[in-house]
Amino acid sequence: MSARNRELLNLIVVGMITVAGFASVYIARQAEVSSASLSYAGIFLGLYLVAHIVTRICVPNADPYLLPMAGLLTAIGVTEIYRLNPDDAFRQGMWIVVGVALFSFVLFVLRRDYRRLESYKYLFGLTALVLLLLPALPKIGTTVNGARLWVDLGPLQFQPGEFAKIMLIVFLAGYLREKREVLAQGRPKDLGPLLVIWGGAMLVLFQTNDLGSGLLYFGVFLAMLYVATARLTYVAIGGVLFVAGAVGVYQVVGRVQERVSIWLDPWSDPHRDGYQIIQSLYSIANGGYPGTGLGQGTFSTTGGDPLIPYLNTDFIYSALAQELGLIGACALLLVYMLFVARGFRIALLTEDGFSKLAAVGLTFTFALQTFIIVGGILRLIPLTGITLPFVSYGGSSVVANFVLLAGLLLISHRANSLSPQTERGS
Amino acid sequence: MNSQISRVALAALAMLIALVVATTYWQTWAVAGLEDRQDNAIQRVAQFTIKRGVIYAGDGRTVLATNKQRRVKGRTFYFRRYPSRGLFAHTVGYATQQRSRVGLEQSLNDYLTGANSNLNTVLNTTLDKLRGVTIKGNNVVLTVDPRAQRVALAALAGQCGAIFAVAPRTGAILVSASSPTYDPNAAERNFKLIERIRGACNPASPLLNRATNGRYVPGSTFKVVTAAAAIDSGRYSLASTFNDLGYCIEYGRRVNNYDTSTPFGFVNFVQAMQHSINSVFCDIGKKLGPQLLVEYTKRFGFYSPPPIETPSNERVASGLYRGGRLFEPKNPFQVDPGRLAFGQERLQVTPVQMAMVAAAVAAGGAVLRPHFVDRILATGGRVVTRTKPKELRQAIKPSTAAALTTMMEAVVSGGTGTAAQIPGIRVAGKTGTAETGVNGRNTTSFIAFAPVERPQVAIAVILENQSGTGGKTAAPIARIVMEALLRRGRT
Amino acid sequence: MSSVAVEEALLALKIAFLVLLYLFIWRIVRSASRDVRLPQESFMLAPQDAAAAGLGRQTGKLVVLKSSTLAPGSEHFLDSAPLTAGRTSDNDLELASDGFASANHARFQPRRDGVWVEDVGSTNGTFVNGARLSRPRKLATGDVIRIGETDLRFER
Repeated sequence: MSARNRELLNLIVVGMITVAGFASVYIARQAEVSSASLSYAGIFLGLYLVAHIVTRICVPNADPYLLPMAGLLTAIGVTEIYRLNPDDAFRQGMWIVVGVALFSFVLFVLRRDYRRLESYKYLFGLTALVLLLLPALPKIGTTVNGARLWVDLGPLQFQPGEFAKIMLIVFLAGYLREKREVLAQGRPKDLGPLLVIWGGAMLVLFQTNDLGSGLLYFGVFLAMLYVATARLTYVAIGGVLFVAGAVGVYQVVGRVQERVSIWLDPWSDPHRDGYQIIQSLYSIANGGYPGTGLGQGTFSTTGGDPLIPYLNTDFIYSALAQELGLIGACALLLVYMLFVARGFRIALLTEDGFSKLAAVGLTFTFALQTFIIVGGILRLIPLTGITLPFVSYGGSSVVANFVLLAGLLLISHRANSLSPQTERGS
Repeated sequence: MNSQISRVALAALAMLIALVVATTYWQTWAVAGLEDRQDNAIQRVAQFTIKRGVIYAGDGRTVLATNKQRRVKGRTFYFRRYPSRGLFAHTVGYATQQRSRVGLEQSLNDYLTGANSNLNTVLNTTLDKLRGVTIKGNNVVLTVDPRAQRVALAALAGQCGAIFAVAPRTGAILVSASSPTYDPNAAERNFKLIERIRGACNPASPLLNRATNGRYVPGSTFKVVTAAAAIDSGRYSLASTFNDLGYCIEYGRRVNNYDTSTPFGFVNFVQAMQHSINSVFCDIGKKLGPQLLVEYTKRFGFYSPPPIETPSNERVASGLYRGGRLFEPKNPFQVDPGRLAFGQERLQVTPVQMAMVAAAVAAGGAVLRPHFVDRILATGGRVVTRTKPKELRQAIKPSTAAALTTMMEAVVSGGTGTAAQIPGIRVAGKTGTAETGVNGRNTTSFIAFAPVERPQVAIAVILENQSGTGGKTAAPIARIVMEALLRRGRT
Repeated sequence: MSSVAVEEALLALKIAFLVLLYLFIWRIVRSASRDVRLPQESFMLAPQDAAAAGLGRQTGKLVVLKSSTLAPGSEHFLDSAPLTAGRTSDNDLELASDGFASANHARFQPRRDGVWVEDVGSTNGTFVNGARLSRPRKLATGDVIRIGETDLRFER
């Protein structure tokens, strides 16, 4: 079977899962949702059919599993958001349309050779920097839930960090591909860029008041640096630098201190500071093995007021864990794992340094972001407010992740087209 | 680069596996601990998705606790309602949104929510959970008599005190009234209403279950226990004679009778009980010694919390108290046996314990475990458990019990307790008046059982802040409650 | 709809949702394990297996015309695997003493339609018949490829 036919088959399975999920929410919550909203599911399927056709045209040899997995994750996300707040689900649906459009655009424009981007690496780096600093600007930068990650342009609100992340990866892939030999020699003067990027990450950390974003950017940088230079000492030095910086920021920024102390003992103040994380843990625990079933979880008081703030953005995992149970939550994490495994497989199969580094960067950022938010919810690390890729409610995040997906598909298509032996297998 | 990529891939997958492990932890091992936490808002809500079992009184019809169904945002919640309001407030208790639960609502929670380990219930609940349907708790039928309880509460109205009545041969609790009472429906929405309740005592403590958790000086009702020790130990008999001088010398000091003006002179044991002569019991107490007396109190159940189904923090043990703590004399000099013998010293008792004493005499010396729960029913009406009478121990010989019955019947027929007489029914009883030295602050009590030839009711009445004697205040109340109960027995 | 019917439907949907979810995961895992069994660049194949897989097929050769490192006239054969050229020793064509060659300079990539050459980010560029490569180019017999100071001729 050809790769694209397999993709289509997988998308059909995803479609069935989506229908089952939507129907479940619809039946469980008839009192609140209208039957017209069931057509959301239909629109959703149509959208993925469009994405599928675009991959058929632009990247016929690309990995056949990434798109269905992304489709599944967005479907689960929209279903849960729909269950929590139908209006938000409608907006999220609009953002998915935008995401698929941008996905198609990226695939179409770069379908012949995406490696042209390498020549513009500094432009990408600079744009990433500007985007990262946007929220810090007065007037347009806004603070949501304590973290300064947003830009408010009247009708349009977005998190530039989500896009900066991808541009940074393109820049790093190009830069590290070029400088890897020099960097690998490990002369002190070559460590300059390392320090600059460390400084940048710290700046982001300080500026946004958000430990998670800083950790994300710096972690991706370290992973790519390691792949490019094969020097674990860089990772070690980088890690030490980050911890030192984080400790420094911890001393200065009250919010970070608060997050850490909540992490260490959320029950010291269960009704105010620790409330969110504690109730989120209760939500997860309430799922048990089988879960309550979609649409049947407990997220509001007997009076109908929400129990957990930011449930459909930061805490969507705890909502899903309650309704899908351990069985469903593990399936969700398995999908993330498989997505990451496919991404790294692409990095292994592709042959040129730029593609390898870009694939590693895109995949690792996906994995690390998942770990930071879900790990925060599960109290493995201090909680930070970043989104769960493809699932959380949030326009910028969804659109950026579709671009990430497009990038991986482009690299995968090229890798599979170039090596006849693997292509024959697909 | 590929070996580095593989390592980074492994690191990334390890992070995601850590998430699987952590999720598993929170959804399996940690569940029990998290569910029990008071601040668990989900459980607070989730408890209302369970249809708690209905609690019925002993007639099987009077509903003491039920649910009101309400749909909020497409979900069905069951809120607790107590249709009989204050009638059995202290026994049934309440369960609120804040998850504070008292009374049987707390101690029977596992049955009421279907969370008990009964195989049938477990099966039903697991199936319901899997299917996502409403979990239904077990219904509970109590032993209590709502009509007699109403009579008891009416008799107590405006006073502080408690009435406790059991069926001596089974241990089934018939009446458990504590005054002032409160409306458990207010516990959810208007707790201030409960706090504002005032009574003939200060503080009124409406939430305190005086019947099982109130500690009172027993006074002369304790003479039944002293007499039990005296006769059961073989030292005395009904025919033993005493010379009452109106007082008793203890440690060189005079301990007076209730009324010192007219000493009774030579009396037998029955007469001493009939007229509640302190000096006689004082002498008996000195002869027997405090340790033997304490030993006999234990046989009746003193020194351990009454073994009833309400939560352990809502019942308290009777016995000697020192500094607020239960205390047991290690040597004879720690306790004054003469005063102990007529129920003074530092003796404190609960109404339920005194009812158990009366019940033991009525049941030929056997102490039966008092119980509130008659049966627990599964959703289909099948009986999950049914309480069988359980004899805890034989406190005294049947012959001793017979002798005590004779003495106690004399109290009602021609002694201090004549107010408890019921026409056509032989009643045995004993009065008690514990003086505090301040008029209007006496604790009066009365214990009794009836009918003497085939006892069906044993009762204890204890009243706070009284100006009269036990015979004038508590005995009439005991009479009307016993009448209500016995009339039930005949129909 | 009666409440029992609703509950039954929800249970069925819940099971369907989870079963389908795991079916989807199983499909991916199964195909991934099949991928692992396929020959990949990182797999070393025994010669007979390689021949069976059609990998030993010669797709062309490179004849050294002029070089400071390689012996002029020597021939380097291409099969289905890519061939890299550059200054460092991890290249198939090691141009150790060619001062104008980059560490990783160019790559010859056999595809279905023929052999392609591409520059892999060299400093001084890769030239085919004197024209500097800006994108991968398919080679024809007789094309001369310049890498640093080394000239190679492609032949079928």
